[in-house]
Parts: sequence; C-alpha cells; structure tokens
Amino acid sequence: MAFVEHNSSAAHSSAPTHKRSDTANKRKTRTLAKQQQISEAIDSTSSEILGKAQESVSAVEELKSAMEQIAAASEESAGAAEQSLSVVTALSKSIQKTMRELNESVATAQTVKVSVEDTGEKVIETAKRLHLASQTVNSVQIKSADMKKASDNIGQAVGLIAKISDQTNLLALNAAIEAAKAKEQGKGFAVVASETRELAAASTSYSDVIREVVSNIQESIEEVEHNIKDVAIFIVNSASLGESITAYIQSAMSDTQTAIDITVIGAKKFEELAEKTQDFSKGSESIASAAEESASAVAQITNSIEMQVNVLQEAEEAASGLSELAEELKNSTDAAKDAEEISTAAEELISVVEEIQKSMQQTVTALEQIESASQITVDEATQNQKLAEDSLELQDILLVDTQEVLEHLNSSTANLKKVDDELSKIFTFTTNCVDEGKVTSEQMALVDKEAKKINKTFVKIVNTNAQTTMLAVSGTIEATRAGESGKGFAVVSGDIRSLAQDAGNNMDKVQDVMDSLDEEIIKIDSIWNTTMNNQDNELITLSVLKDEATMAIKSLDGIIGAFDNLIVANEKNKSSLEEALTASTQIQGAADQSLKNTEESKHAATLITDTVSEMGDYIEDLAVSADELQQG
Amino acid sequence: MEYLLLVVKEKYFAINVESIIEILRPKDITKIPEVPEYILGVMNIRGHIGTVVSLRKMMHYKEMAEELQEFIAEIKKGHEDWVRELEESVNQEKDFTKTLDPHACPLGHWLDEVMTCLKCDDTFMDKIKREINPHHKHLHEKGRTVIDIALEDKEKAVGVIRTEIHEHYNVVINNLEALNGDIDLWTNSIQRIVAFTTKKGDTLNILVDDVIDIISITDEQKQKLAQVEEGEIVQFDCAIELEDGKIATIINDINI
Repeated sequence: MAFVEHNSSAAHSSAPTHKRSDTANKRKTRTLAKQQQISEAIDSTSSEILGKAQESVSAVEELKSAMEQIAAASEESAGAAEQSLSVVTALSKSIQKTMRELNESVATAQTVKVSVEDTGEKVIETAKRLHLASQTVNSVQIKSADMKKASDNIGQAVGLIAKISDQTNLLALNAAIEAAKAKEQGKGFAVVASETRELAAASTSYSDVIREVVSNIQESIEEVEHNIKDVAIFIVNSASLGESITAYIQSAMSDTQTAIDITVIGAKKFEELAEKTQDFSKGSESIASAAEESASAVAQITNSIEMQVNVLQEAEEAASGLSELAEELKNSTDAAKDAEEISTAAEELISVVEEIQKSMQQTVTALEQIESASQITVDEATQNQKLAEDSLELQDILLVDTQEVLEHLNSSTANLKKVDDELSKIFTFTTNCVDEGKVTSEQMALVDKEAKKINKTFVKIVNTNAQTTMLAVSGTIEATRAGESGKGFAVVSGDIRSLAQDAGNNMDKVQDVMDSLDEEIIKIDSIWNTTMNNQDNELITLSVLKDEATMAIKSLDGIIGAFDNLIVANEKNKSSLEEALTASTQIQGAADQSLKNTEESKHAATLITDTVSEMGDYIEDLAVSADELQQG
Repeated sequence: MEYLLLVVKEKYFAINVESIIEILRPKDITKIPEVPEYILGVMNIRGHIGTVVSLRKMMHYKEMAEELQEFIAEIKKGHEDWVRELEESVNQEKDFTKTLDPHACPLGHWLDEVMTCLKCDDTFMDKIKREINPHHKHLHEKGRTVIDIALEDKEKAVGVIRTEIHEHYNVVINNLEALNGDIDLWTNSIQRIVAFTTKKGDTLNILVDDVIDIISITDEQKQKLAQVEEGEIVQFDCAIELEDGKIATIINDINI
C-alpha cells in the first residue's frame, strides 16, 4: 500500500482555509495571523500524529503479546510433539519386538504342531500294535485253554492206565491165590503173579507221578491263564487309552492351529499398528517442524516489533518536537527556518511511516507463515488423534485376540498334559504287562519242564506194560504145563494179557495227547515271547512319546509366557497411545489457539497499517502547512 | 501159610488163601427182601448167582455209603458255621478262627484223597473235580478276600459274603448232596468182593473195603498172639502183628 499518495477519504478537518490580503500591514498582520493559524494547524496535526503513533504502539503491544502467546503455543506444541514422538518411537520399538516375538511364537507353535502330529501318528501306530497284541493275547488265551484241555486229557488217559494197573493188580492177586492153592505145582505161577503185581504197582506209582505232574501243570496253566487275562486287560486298557490319546492330540493340534491362525492375523494387525505409529511419527515430525517455522516467524515478528516500537517512539518524539515548534512558531520571526525544521521533521516522520509500513508487510507475511504452520499443526494433530484412536482400537482387538490365543494355547497344553498322563498310564500298564508276561513265561517254562517229565514217566509205563504182556505169556505157558491144576491160572493170565493190550491201545492215545500238549506249549511260548518282546519295545516307544509330549508342553509354556508378556506390553502400548492421543489433542488445542492469535495479530497488523497510513496523511498535511509557511 | 490181607474200616483182616476162590469188583448187586442187614443181595459171578455179604455189617460197622452220607451232613454244617463265623467276624470285627486253606478243612482232606485215588470211578471223580472242588476252593479263597476287603469297607465285605460266598457255599452243598445218588459209583470202584468158601462148603461173596496183599503167616506168629473173641457170625482165629506193626485179625470162618 502506497501511503504517500493522498487518500481521498482522508480527513482534513483541521486544515484551515486561507484568505490573501494586499496591504503590508494587513499583510503583516495577516502574515502573523496566518502564521499563528498554521502553527495551530501544525500543533493540532502533531497531536494527531502523536495520537496515531501512540495508537500504533498499543497495537504493536497487542501484537507483541499475541506473538508471545503464539510462541508459547509453538513451544508447547513442539514439546508435546517431541514428547509424543519419543513415546511413539518407544511404542514402535515395542511393536517391532512384539512382531519378532510373534513370528518366533508362530514358528515354535508350528514346530509343536508338527511334533504333536508326529506323536499322534506314533500313538495311532502304537494303539494299532496294542490292538494287534490284544488280539494275539486273546488267541493265546484260547490256546492256553487248549493246553489245559490237553493236560486234562492226559490226566484222564493216565487215570485209565492207572485203572488198568489196578485191574492188573487184582488179577495178579487172584493169580497169586491160584498159585498158593496149587502149592508145589503153583510155584512157577507164584513167581509170575508176584512179578505181575510188582509191575502193576510200578505202573500205578508212575501213573501217580504223572497225575501229580498233571495237577501241577494244571495249576501252572491256571496261573498262566490268569496272568494272560491280566495281560489282556492291560493291553486292552492301553489300546483304549491310545484311542483317547488320539482324541486329545487332535484337540491339542486344532487348538494350536487356531492359536497360530489368530496369531498370524494378529501379526498383520500389528503391522497395521506399526504403520499407524510410523504415520504418527511423521505427523509429530511435521508438527515439530511447523512449530519451528512458526517459532522463526514469531521471532521475526518479535524483532520487527522491537524496531517498530523504537521507530514509533521516534515518531512520538518527532510529533512532540513538532508541537514545540508549533508553539515557537506562534511568535516566531523566522518562519522560513521553522518551516524548514517542520519540513525536516515531516520528512523524518514519513520515513517512520514507510519503515513501519514495510515492516508490517513483513509481519503480515510472517503471520501468514504462522497461520499456515498452525493449520498444518491442526491438520497433523487431528490426523494423529485419529491414528492414536485407531491404534487404541487395534490394541483392544489385539488384546481380545491375544486372550483368545492364550485360551487355545492353554487348552492345547491341558490336552497335552492329558496325553502325558495317559501315556504314563499306558507305560504303567505295559510295564505291568511285561512283568506279568515274564512271570507267565517262567510258568510256561515250568509247564514245559513238567510236560517233559510226563513224557519220561510215560515211557516207563509203556515199558512196564510191555513187561506185563511178556509175563502174562509166560504165565499162560506155565499154566499149560501144569495141566489140570493150571486151569485157573491160565484164565487169569489170559485176562492179564488182554488188559495189557487195552493199556497199550490207551497209551497210543496218551502219546498223541502229549504230543499235542507239547505242540501247544511251543506255539504259545513262541507267540508269547514275541508279544512280550514287542511290549518291551513298546516301553521304549512310550518313553520317546512321553518325552515328545513333555517337550511340546514346555514349548507351549514358552509361547504362553510370550503371550502373557504380550498382554502386559499391550497395556503399556495402550498407555503410550493414550499419552500420544492426549499430546495430539493438546497440540491441536494449542494450534487452534495460535490460529486465533494469528487472526488477532492480523487484525492488529491491519490496524497498525491503517493507523500508520492515517499518520502519513497527517504528515502530508504537515508538509502542506510547512509549504504554506515558507510561501507566506 | 498164605493169607489174603484185607481192610474194613481201616482195620485189617486175614483169610487163608485155601478158602478163597477169587477177588472181584462189586457190580450190580441185586437186593433181596427180608434178609439180615449183612446180606447185601445177589450178584452175577461168571454166570452163577452169588450171595453178597458185608463184612462191615457183620462187624456191626456202618457201610461206607452211610459214612459218606453222614460226612456230607457234617460238612454241610461245618461250612454253614464257617460262613456264619466269617460274617460275624466282619460285622463284629473279630478274628476269624476257621481255616482259609481249602485243603485244611475235612472236606478239603476228603476231596484231595478222592482226587488222588487212582481207583475212583471216573464219573464220580469228574463230579468232585468239576462241581465241588473248584467251588470249595473259591469258597475258602473268597474268605481271604472278604477279610482283606473288610479292613477297608465292612459293608462291601458283607456284600461279598452275601453274594459270592453264599453262591459258592450253595453250589458246594447242593452238589455234595447230589453226590448221595452216586455213592455206589464210588464204593463200587474202591471196594472189593472176596469169593470165600465156608467150612460148610458154601460160597460167600464178602464185600470188603479193599484187599491189600497176600502174606505168609507162620504158626509161630500165630502162637505169639492172643486169641480174640468169637464174633456172632464171623469166627476169628487170632490176631497177629504185621511187619509194619499193624494188627490183623485172622478170620477162620463165616457162619450165616
């Protein structure tokens, strides 16, 4: 704005109207009157100028105080921005750490899942093997019943042989009676009879041995059957536990998978959070730089204000000077000199006006800078508020996610603990099974040994029977030789022979039964030993499975610990975000205030400009007055 | 002189082989009415009808069958007492004084004896082995279980007595009573018949518990021992001491 130009609207109320006179006195008087008139006009203009200068000074004071407020707001904004930047930087670091931990947790959980899956497959295989083993043991149970039946049959067959021996003994007794009655002629009979009786007694005692052995065998077999039943129960229980373990493992795996899935999604949310914090940081940086800009603009204005105040003081002094000059002028003789002085003062004042106008131009530019910085600050702070709010919301979602993950992980751990417990039970069952299996093997070895004893004794019975047959033949020969008195003996000898034949037939049957018993024992023994070896190996497998389950539980515990920490971190993050939100709100408030202050400052600047402009008009009037004075 | 040594009710008797025809197993003895108790009936011996007399009855002893019946009644009472005392011992927390060993009670002894007897009839033996012995064994063994359970849970122990113990007891007693119908199978399988010629020349078939052996008795042996009282029907010669210290009475004649 060119304030040297005459403003048409400027007031000239104090400007006097002049009338020229031709007479010297009149002129002189007129000149004096005019001089007085001008001096009054100058005086009044000077007062106006002084007034305007004072007005300007107070407007500048206003501007100064506005600047102080803006400076304070900028400082506050810069401080808050810096503070929230450091908070958010820490938050960002925490989020980065969390993301790393999440990735590690996911990797660990995946390893756990794979390991548990592997354990599950092994358990299924073990359960299958246990199932097979239980079938085998069932078949052994049936076979042991067969074995018992075979031993029963031996007992019965041997009982029959014993009865034949008893019958032989009876017949031999009758033969002895015949021999005794035949006296001298019966001597040969007596020998045959007594030898037959001896053989029958031997046969009876062998039968008795076998009977006892069979009874021992049956007792052993009963124990074997009992043990096999126990073993079968252990194995069946183990197999069914194996099935329940499979269910637990399925649950553990599905829980782990769900935990992984939620975590993976959660990790994405964390990424989002990280982006938001980054944006927030950028916003804070912008706010900080806007504050800096604003501060420098404020500094500039403050500097110019000082200058303005000085200049305006000069103007005030100049105006006061002019008032004095105007006083002098009333009675002055050297109007030209005064007019020159006034003219000089007016020129000085013009330069003041020009300076202030120039400075105001700069101030307005600076105010515009402040305004734009404040606007940026308001925008960024609003943006940051939104980011902080969104982040808080995300944190809440993540907290829920984390709690859900923890639930799944805990459930998974609980199921794995059940797996561990059940495996322990199977381990105990299998240990018992192996122990009882060993006892059973020993009992079967005993049965085998006893069965061999039967074989040996039975050979003796067979031999005895052969001898009895031979004796009966001898008896018949003796009886024939004795003629009439040998008739009774001949009958008895014949009976004995046919009995021995019966016994022989029965012995063949016994031999068959014994062979079948031997076969059963060998079969059972071989199946049993294989089964028990397998069970023994199962113990190793079970130990491995237990170790795997324990490892998985340990790994999951680690992950659970990480997620527990995450909840704590979440709380911290939230409070950081709340702090950042508060800071952003503060910044926004300060920036809003700055905007208002800037607006006011602009008004003040306009006011100053106008006032100074008016001052310019008066100075022009002053110049006119000075001119008039010189001419007059 | 040669004598046949035989046994009746654990007592030994000897008969001169000169008066013995043969030794037989008792089989299908047909009873005849209105005869003295010691005449058991008649039996087919190689196509001839022979009178069967009981040495036990002639000596005024009870028959083996009667003894077994009495034994069964005794066993029944003994085990009834056993069960009752077991229940009392549980209820009143007293010591159980009866045996828990199935081989130690009288029935256990008898069962072991029958089951180790090679002469015993198969059917009879089978019933003992299958229907009586296992239940008797379980009965006593469950007694041990009941006492163990009673330490922890009295009511459960009483429950076991009322269920399993009673069950085994009933099976044992019922099957023992059922044995009464099969006693002949048992006695016939272990008893013997001695075909004997009396001084009058009659043939008598004497039912004895068992025949042991043929032994030689010298006149000196006979002289050493005291005379024995004459029986009503059975006439004794004297008593002699056997090698193992047992005493045997020599039967001279039987006069029915």
